Amino acid sequence: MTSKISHKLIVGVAGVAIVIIGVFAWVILDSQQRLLLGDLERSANQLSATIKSSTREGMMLNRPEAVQAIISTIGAQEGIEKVRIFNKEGRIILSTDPKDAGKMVDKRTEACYMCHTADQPLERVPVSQRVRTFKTSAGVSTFGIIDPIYNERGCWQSSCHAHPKNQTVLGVLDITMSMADVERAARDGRARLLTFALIAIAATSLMIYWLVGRIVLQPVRRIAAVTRKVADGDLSQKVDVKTRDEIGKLGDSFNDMMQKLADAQRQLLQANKLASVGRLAAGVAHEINNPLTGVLTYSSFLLKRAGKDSELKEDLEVIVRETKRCREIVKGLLDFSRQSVSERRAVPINDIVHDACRIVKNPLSMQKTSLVLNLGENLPLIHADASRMQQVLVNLLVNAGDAMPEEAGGTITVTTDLVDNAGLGTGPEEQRKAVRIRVSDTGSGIEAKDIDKIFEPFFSTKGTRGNGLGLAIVWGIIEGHGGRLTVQSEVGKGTTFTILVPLAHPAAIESRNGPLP
Amino acid sequence: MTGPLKVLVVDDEQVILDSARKILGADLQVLTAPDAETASRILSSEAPDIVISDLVLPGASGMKLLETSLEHDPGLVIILTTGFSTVENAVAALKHGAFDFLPKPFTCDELLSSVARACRAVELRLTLGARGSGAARRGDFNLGIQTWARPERDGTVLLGVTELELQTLDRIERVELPETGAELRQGGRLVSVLTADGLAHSLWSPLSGRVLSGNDLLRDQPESLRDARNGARWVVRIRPTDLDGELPNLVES
Repeated sequence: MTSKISHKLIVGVAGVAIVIIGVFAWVILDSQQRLLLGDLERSANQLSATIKSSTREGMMLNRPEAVQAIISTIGAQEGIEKVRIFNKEGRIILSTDPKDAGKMVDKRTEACYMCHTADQPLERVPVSQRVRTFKTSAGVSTFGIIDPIYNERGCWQSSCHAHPKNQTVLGVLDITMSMADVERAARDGRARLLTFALIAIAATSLMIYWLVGRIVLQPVRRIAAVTRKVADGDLSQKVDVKTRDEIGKLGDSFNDMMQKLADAQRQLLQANKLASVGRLAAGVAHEINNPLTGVLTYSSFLLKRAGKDSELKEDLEVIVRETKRCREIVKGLLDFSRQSVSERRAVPINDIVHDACRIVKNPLSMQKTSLVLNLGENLPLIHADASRMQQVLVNLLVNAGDAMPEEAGGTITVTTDLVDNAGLGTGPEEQRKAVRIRVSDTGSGIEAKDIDKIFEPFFSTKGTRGNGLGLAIVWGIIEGHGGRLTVQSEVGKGTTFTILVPLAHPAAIESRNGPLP
Repeated sequence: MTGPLKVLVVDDEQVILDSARKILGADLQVLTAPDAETASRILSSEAPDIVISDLVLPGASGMKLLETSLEHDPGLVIILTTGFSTVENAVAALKHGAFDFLPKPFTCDELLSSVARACRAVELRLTLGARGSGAARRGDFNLGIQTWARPERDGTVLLGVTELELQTLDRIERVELPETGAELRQGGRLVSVLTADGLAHSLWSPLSGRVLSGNDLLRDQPESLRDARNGARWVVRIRPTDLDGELPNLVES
């Protein structure tokens, strides 16, 4: 998968680089070519002007041998193929190549077509139209320039030969030069540019490949590896990507998601555990209650008939008492299995706290435990089943009382306040608010090894005094409210249970203010 | 009365049939049946005065047995019992005309107190024929023939014991009221009434709710529970937790 991404990227980047660098190279090559041709054109033009001016005297004096000598001298220079002079009809009058003399030039051949496209001779043409490149029959690239020789006073006044006065062009000076040097230079340039372009394309592609690998693929691979581990069931995995870019953010939100997933799984596990315990309890209750009825009826019947036999009576009392205890345990199980949050309304939390405190006040004062209420003012209403919430608080308060040292007693503090971002929902700001209830005691605290187990059904540190369902019930109720229950504890210092409960929906508050049913 | 009353005990557990025979055998003629079919046969052949039946039976359920036998004889006094003693079962049994609900496991005294009231009810058969009406006050909501709930204007509800139920009780010596702030559940225990015959009678609450106050008069003068004047007969005032949901389980008189 990852290798495919990098392959795609490298192919894409190379393609783009090829197009851009290719166009760039072509433009450079083209302009270089033009430059070289321009140079050639300029020097050819100069040369032609030089020839014209240096042969002028010979022409005027009608001394063809002098003209021939000049063009031969010039034509001998390196790079110059031929220098020829044609007359108006296209007959070669003078040439560096003696074999050409007297030959006729076909006006339709390459040397002439620029001026003579139509049969009409053109009299004045710009330099750019007077040059041409062509290949000779030997395959040599050749550059040619023609320079018309115009009629002037000296020409038609001269006595030597008659150039009619009305003739504009008397003949043409034609110079052809080899383009071998120019072509070599162009070839060299092209080769250099091509090499450079290839290197640039390869370098760009490799660089992008490396950068993408480092910035994108590596972290993505790390995230993918973690995802695989998570898929295998290890929810404790965390992505270690510290960058501040999008991938870093992806890593952060992945970690965030994992945290929430782990929380949810834990809660689900606990909920499932409670549910299965509930089902088990319901089944067990029925099975056990029948034999228990046998024991209880017979023993209580015997106790009734024991009369004054005090020893027998005492023993039977134990049996009846213990069987009744069994009955209470089974009843507790049944009640536990039927935990439900049925009646959620908009209710004021502080009232519930007061009610719960009233119930536990007497037993707590017997335990020399004082109760401090630290209730927030103007708290919004919560969405809760008041009696269940009261049950929660009573359970927590009774536990707190039981955690106090027997002789010394202690203090239980109940605090209520509003928290802004409780993390109960992910909706708008208002929906994230929750009421927090904290029940703190100065009791014996919970050992670290027990703290994970305290919400599990049947876990109890109270021995025969508890059935181990109290906190499991509390947990179930808070869970049923869509709230959260957490605990912090330090051995010897005390324990704090923190409850978060969602606020009441505005519609529910309205209905609460309406007439009573 | 000619001879002892006949009680039919229906349960698929032999030990319960045996113990019932032992406990009740001294004063009553005890018949037993292990299933609903046998029970129906005995019902038609022996015409018992009282039936004590488990809710869960092989074949037809105890509730079915209750319905068919009441159709046959509306004056029959039936006590339902079950090991699956949820309050829903208690409420359903009382709503369908059971005289009492006895959650398993029960003690000898609990069985005796329920049966004692049932015997009184049989003796008062004429009055009981008008089950669910008559003596009950208009506008009250009754849980079977046992207790009533009376919604007040302020949203609270008074709970009390019905006239019929009171007639089945011996002289009242003590009424154990739930504590203020306690949580009552529909079908759970409302009060425990101790009578002169040495029995303690558990009566079931018609509604769920939090106890706001108890009728203190009952602490000093328990017999005033029978006193219809000055509203002395109410037991507790509660703030109901689910009035709308629970009222359909009660019978309006």
